[in-house]
Amino acid sequence: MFRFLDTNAQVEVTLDGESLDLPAGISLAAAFIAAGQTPMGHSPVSHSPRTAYCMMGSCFECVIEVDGVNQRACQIEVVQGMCLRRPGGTADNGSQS
Amino acid sequence: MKDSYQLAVIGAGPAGMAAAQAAAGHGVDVILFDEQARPGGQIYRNIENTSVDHGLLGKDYAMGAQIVQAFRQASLDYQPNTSVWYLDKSRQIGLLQQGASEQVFAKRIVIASGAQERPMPFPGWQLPGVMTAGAGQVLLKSAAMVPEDGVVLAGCGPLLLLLAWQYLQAGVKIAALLETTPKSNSGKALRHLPKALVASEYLFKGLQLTRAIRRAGIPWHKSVCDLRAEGGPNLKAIHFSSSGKNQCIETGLLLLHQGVIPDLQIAQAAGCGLEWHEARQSWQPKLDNWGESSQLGIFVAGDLGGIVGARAARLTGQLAGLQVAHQLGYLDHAMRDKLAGPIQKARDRHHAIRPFLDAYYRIAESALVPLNETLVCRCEEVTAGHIRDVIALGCNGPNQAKAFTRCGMGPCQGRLCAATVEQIFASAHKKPVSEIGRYNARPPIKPITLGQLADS
Amino acid sequence: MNNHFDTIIVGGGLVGSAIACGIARRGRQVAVLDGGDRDFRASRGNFGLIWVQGKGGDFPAYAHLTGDAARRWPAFEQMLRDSTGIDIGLQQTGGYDFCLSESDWLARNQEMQLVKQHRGGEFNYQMFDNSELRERIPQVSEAIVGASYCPEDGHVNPLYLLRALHQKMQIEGCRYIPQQVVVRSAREQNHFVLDTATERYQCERIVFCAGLDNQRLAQDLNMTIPVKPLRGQLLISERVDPFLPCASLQVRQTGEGSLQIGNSHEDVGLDESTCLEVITELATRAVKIFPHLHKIRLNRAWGALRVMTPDAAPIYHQSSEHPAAYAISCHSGVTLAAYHATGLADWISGDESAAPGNEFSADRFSVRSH
Repeated sequence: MFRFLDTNAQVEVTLDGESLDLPAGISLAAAFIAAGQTPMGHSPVSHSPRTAYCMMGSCFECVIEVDGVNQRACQIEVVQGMCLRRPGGTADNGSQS
Repeated sequence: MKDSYQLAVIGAGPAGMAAAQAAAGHGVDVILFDEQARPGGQIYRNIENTSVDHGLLGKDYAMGAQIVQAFRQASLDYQPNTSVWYLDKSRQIGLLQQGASEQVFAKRIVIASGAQERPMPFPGWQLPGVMTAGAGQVLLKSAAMVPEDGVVLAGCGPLLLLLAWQYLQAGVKIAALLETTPKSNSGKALRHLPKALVASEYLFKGLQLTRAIRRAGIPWHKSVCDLRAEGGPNLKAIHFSSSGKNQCIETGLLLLHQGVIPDLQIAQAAGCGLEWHEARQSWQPKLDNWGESSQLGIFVAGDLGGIVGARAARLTGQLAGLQVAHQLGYLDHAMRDKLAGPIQKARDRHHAIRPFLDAYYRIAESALVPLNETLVCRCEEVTAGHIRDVIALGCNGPNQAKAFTRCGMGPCQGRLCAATVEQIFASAHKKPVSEIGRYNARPPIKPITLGQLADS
Repeated sequence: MNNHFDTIIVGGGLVGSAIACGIARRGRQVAVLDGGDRDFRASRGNFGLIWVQGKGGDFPAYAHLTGDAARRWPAFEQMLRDSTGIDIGLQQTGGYDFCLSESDWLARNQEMQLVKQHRGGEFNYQMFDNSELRERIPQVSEAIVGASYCPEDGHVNPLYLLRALHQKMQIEGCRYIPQQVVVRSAREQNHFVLDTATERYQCERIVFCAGLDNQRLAQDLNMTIPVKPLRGQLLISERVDPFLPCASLQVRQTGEGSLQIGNSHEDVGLDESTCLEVITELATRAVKIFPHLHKIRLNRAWGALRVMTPDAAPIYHQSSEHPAAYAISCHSGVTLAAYHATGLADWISGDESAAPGNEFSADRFSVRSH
């Protein structure tokens, strides 16, 4: 969806148990989008696919579990070693809560 | 941090910074809380740090560098990375800083929480790949990210054109601009033009943007309606009609904008009374000439008080700061009025453009009142049809509808559905929104965990 | 518009709409006059419990009534679901009241024994210590002393219940008229008249179910209904994987997975707002009982006003001066809903054999004060 105007360093995080490289120095939501990791998660009601919508902390669509706590990915910076879990299961498996 | 301050300012955008500086400049003991890591708010977001050329982002953004620099030098307690999750009428503030909850009291409060984008609901707007124009700007300013070629921009309002212009400067290929502004608006806006001329720089800027976009040859569809996004799991295409013709553009990214509205959550939780502004099609806090709300001691500055733009926001912040200094005994009547005079005059000049812009970019009812199948509440997945079902049951307003359908009960706390639910009620009852009312706002204003509360 | 009805119910909350359902089902022509969207609404602050344990420790008839209402619930829920298609999430799998201290536990035990006595032994309850409790709910902290448990307790989603009642009463032909705050009522010739800001209504039978407003409304017909607000603040968390198989007085898990945390009692008058101290206290207690909730986010906190009578038991009052005028006040709108829509509605419809008994009349308060 988006590309960088200049190059970015990378950090390594874990997403649903698997290692993933994300661009560094930006918000976690921006990093997901830049890495083409969309949908970021699934809604808890119908498990429909969702991704960051407003990037300003209003919509809560980018909420993802970061080290055990659900957080708005647009409001925190991506950090080396973050342990992430997608809400509503992974992209292939939308049935978990 | 101390337990208590004379003034607490919430938000480090143009209004918050100005209010804090104005009060501190006269000796008031000021603390300012902001959720971001650096001052500037959404408008000057990341200005100290961005790697993007300021010229690309435009003159207005570049202006922020000086403003933020001056703010950094003011003698006040600036607390970044701090979210205000609680505020009540007794002026108790609940803060969250690095995961720890704390409590602070302030004699005076200036809320400068700014604006949010007005929701623009249509079938499929929840698909990944559909975002707001504001999101596009945040990605540009704070992450130096621009869309891959083929992005579609849709909606109504100056920000949409500004974003198109910024993308053009950055060499982005825009597939289409879908303007939903109704054709009849320009005629109705004309009568406000003479008054708008006193702030003609806004008009020139608008004309410049328009000309640049035209020159670039971007397909520009006017009077667009019946938007429908399609895809799975990500966006694949946007359907719409323009001049009576159904059309479709394949794209993986659609950026939406339909104006901005005050972000009322904190002000409402603090008990500030609201009023409906018909021309702006939004609620705003009821304020006196200095920005003091119906809860005495709680002030509102900037776009939260009604959308006025960054420059006027700064002036309303200064006025609130002066009045706080006066109320706390740091400025006598005469001095306050002397200092405020030119600021009020300048503010009124910036306000002069608003009636024209409000009329020119007035949103069509069809774009505010969605079809039955459209998700109104994205969190709890409540459709416009569900809301109409409970209206048929006699449901007496948005709060009852919330109770009956869960609309607005999700994590966003109604930020993305409140405006739409009011419009559906108003349209069903054929009454103005002012007679419909609005959701009550509930803490926490910002997320907090039970553990963070328990440990506080 | 024809504003003449057989029965008018003033108030469309849980109490008024349950009674409306019952009366309309008996073929009477009923209208419900409800207030505005932002009026005080205890129904929107309800915790959703069908709660038997501990009720009526010093009021035997109330202990019986509560047990009777709880037993009516399964059939009532079935009827509502069949008729409206709404699943209100009834779960009558028992309820816990956690004891955070040793003295708490001892006092609870005594209270439960008393209720059992009052109900002639027809009351099942158990007192669990920590290990017994953790066998049933493994997430409970080791630091919790224990809990009382009553198998008759349960819970529903109170908001869906209110919606189902509104739908049901309209299916039964009841007219629901919102935004009609009654400003005056009187007996004229052989009927009652009620005035709102915009309309005049007439009826043969009038039932005040207007929560805290009952005191003011019933006064017009010379009934003295002493009710007082008692604030409770409530927290709702984000969705959590199901772990709580039963209701409890402190924490309830909804069908959606969110946790409802509550049970504060604050005597603050007509003030619905929240305060930091109580929000913090409620969160602290929830985490103390269930430590694994530490990382769970709070979604919403709000305050609501309970409708309290002086002895916390319901008032089912029939006017002696105007026998077709009734005032109904209680704070257990969910627990008693199944009774309100059945037995109580029979009585108000004219079936004297269904009368709840004089113990529930508001006269009990004036007699005592003499």
